[in-house]
Amino acid sequence: MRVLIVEDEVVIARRLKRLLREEAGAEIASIEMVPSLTEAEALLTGRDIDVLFLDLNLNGRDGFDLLATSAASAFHTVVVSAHTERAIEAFDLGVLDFVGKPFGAERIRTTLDRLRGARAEHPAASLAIRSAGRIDLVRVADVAYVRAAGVYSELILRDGSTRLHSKPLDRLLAVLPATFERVHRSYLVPLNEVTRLRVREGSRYHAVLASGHEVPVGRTRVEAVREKLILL
Amino acid sequence: MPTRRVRFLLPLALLGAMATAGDARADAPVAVVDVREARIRAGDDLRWAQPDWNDADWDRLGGTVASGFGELREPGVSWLRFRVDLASSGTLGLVVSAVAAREVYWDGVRLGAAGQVGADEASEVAGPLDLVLAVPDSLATPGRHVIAVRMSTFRRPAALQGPLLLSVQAAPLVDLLSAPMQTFWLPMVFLGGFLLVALYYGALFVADRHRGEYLLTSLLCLSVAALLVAESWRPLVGYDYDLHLVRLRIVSGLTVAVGLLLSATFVVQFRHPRAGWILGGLAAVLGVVLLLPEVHDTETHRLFVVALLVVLGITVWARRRRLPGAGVALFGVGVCAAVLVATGDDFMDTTFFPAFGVLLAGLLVSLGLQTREARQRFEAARAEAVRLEAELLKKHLQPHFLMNSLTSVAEWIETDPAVGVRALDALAGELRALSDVSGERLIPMARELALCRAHLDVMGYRRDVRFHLDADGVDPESSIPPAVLHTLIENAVTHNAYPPGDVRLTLRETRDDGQRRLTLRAPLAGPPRETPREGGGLRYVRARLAEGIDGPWSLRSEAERDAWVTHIDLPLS
Repeated sequence: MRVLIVEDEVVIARRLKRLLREEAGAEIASIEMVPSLTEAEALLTGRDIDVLFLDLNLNGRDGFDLLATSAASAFHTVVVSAHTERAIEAFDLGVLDFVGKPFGAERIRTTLDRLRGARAEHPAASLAIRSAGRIDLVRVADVAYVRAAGVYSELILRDGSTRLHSKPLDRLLAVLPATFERVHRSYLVPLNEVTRLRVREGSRYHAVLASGHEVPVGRTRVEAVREKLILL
Repeated sequence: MPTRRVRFLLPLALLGAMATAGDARADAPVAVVDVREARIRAGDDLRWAQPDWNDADWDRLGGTVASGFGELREPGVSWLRFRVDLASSGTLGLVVSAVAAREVYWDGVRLGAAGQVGADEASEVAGPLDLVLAVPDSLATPGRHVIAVRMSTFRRPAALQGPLLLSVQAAPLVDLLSAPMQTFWLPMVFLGGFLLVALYYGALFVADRHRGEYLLTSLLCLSVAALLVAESWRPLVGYDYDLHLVRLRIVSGLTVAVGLLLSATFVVQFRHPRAGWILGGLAAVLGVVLLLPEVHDTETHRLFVVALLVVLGITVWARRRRLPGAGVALFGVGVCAAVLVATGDDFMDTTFFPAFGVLLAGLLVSLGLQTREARQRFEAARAEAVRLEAELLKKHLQPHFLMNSLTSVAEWIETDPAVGVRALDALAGELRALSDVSGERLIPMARELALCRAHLDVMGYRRDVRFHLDADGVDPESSIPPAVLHTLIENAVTHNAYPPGDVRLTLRETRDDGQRRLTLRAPLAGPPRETPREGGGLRYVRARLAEGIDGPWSLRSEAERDAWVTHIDLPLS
C-alpha cells in the first residue's frame, strides 16, 4: 500500500504515519508526507499511490472543490479533518473514509479495514469525474451499471451515455451504495435494478436491468447473486 | 391688523420725520414733525421758547434720517426749535429722545423735562434718554406748532460720537404708551424660549460633558437672550442719557459674542477639522474690532454677517459630507442668511430675532438628529463588541484550532508524555488567556503579548517549531484591543509551513508625531504562495480597531523580501 499524507500540521502528519506503520506496517510499501495539495500534485505526476490521507479545512467551498478533485482520482481518498460535521458531505463525494480529529490507533484500524476492501461507512451520492480539466459530478442514482475499462471504470448512465472514472472497479465499488454488487469480474450492478436473470446458450447468465440493459453475470458469482436477489 | 415694524434694535435715528406710532385707526398720520427744518443755537434765553421767535438766523440742525440729527458742538446750554403739523385734535403725546438733559416747550408752554438742564456739569442732572410727554388738549389744536427744546450735555460720555437728537415723535398718547409693549411682546416670548433652551442644553452638557456643542448652544442662547434684554431695556425700562454709551457697548459686545458663539457651535457640532483656525481667525477679527475706541452699529452688524457667512460655509461643508443633521441646520442658517440679504442693514433692527429663531430651530433639530445618530452608533458599537467577543471565543472553540491542537497533544502524550503534558498546559493557558481578554475593549500590551506567546507555545507543540516573539520598544502599559496582534500572529503561523528549528517574530513600537506604530514581522517560510486576501482574521482585526480605538488608525500588510510585515498606526492615547 502506497500512502501519501497531505497535512500541514507536522505533528499530526507524524502521528498518522506512525499509527499507519504500527497498525499495518507490513502492508505499507511507502508513506510520504507533504504539507499541501499543491506539493501533492507535483509529487503525483509520475507516481501512483493507493490512498491519499487528506487534511482539508472543510469550513468553506474551496475545501470541497479540492476534495472533489481528489475523489475523482484513481486512488482512495481518506479525509482527516477537524470538521466532523462535514463528514456526510465528504462521503457524498465518494471518499472512502472520514477520520475526525483527534484520532487514535483504533480509528486508524477502521480506516485500514476499509482500505482492505470493506465498504465506506456512507456511500457516495455523486461520483466526481475528471473531464477536460474540470471536475463533473455524476449522480450515483443516474448510473445504470459500471463496466471495467482497463484500469479505469466506465459508468453507463440511464440515458445510455457513458463516463470514464479514474478509479478501478474495486475502488469504485468501495464507495458505491451497498446495492451495487460485483456480478462479474468486469461489471458492477445495482441489484435492486435487476428484474431477472436470463440464461443464454453455454449456460452463460445475464442480469436484465429495469433500464433494459443486460449485463453478464460471472459463472462463479451466479449463486451469490441469485441469493441476494431472493433476499431483496 | 396694524403692520408694525418689529423694532428690536432702536436705531440711532428713528425716523423722526414720520410720526407713525402705527395708528391703525387713521390712514393719514395725526402729526408730522419736520426735524429737517430744525434750527439750533448755543446759548440760553427763555424767550427762544416762544412760537413767534424768529430763528431764521439760527444754524440748521442738518443731518439725515440715517445719521441722526445734529452733531454735538459744545456741552453748554443750547436750544433747538422745530415745527409740528397736527392734522386733527386729540390727546397727543410727544417723545423727544436725545443724549442730553432737556426741557421741552410747546408753543412756549413748558411740557416737561428730562433731568435738569444746567450751565455746568455740577448743576446739570441727567434725565431719561427717551422723554415721553403728554400735550394738553388745549395746545394740541390742528395746525402748525413750534417745539423748542432747551438742552445741556455735560454728562454725555466723551467717547460717544453721533447725534444729539435721536428722535422726535408726535402721536396719540395712548399709542406712544402702548408702543413698547406691542412691539416687544413677541421678542419677550423669544426671550423665554432662548432662556429655556439655554437651561436645557446647559443641563444636557452637565450630563454629558463630551458634547461641547451642548455647552456652546446653551451659551449661544444665553447671549442671545442677554442681547434681547439689552435691546429691550431702553423702551421697556429706560435709563438716563449718560448711560447710553454703556448700553451701546453692551449691545455691540453681545452681538460679537453671538456671532462668535454661533460659529463655534456649528464648527464644534460638525467637528470641522480646522475648527481651531476658523474660530481663532474669527475671534481675532471680532476682538480687534471690539477694541476699537468707537464701535458703530453698522460695524457690529457687519461682523455678524461675517460670522453668519462662516456658519453658512460650515453647514454647506457638513451637508456635502452628508453629516447627520447638516441638511436641517443648513436650512435654518439659509433662511437666516436670506432674511439678512433681504433686509440689508436693517437686519439687526428688524428681523434679527425671528430669523435667529429659525436658525436656532434648525440647530436644535440638527443636534437632535445627531444625538439620535450617536445613540444608534453606540448601540451598533455595543452589538459589535458582543459580536467580536463571540467571534474570538468561537474561533478557538472551532474545530480547526481546537481539534488540531488536541490531535497534536495526543501524539505527544503517546510519544513523549512529558512534552504532552506541557503541550496540554500550553493549550489550557491560551484558552484561559483568551477568555480573560475577549470581553475587553482595550487591554494592556503586556497581556496581549502574553496571549500571543501562549498561542506561539501551542503552535510550537503542533508544528514542532520553537517560536519566539521579540518585543522591541513596546510599552507594556500601552493599550490595544484584545487579540489584535494575536490574530495577526495566528495568520502568519497558519499560512507558513516553517521547517523545524527556531522561528523569530518581532514586534516593534515606534512613536512620532503623536502616533505610535506597531510593526509586526513574521518570517516567510517560502515565497508568498499567493496574494493574500483580506481573510476573516484581518477583518476581525479591523473590526476590533474600529471598535476600540478613538481617533484615526490604519492597518497595512505587505510582503517584504523574507517576511510578512504588518503596520498598525494608532493615535497616542
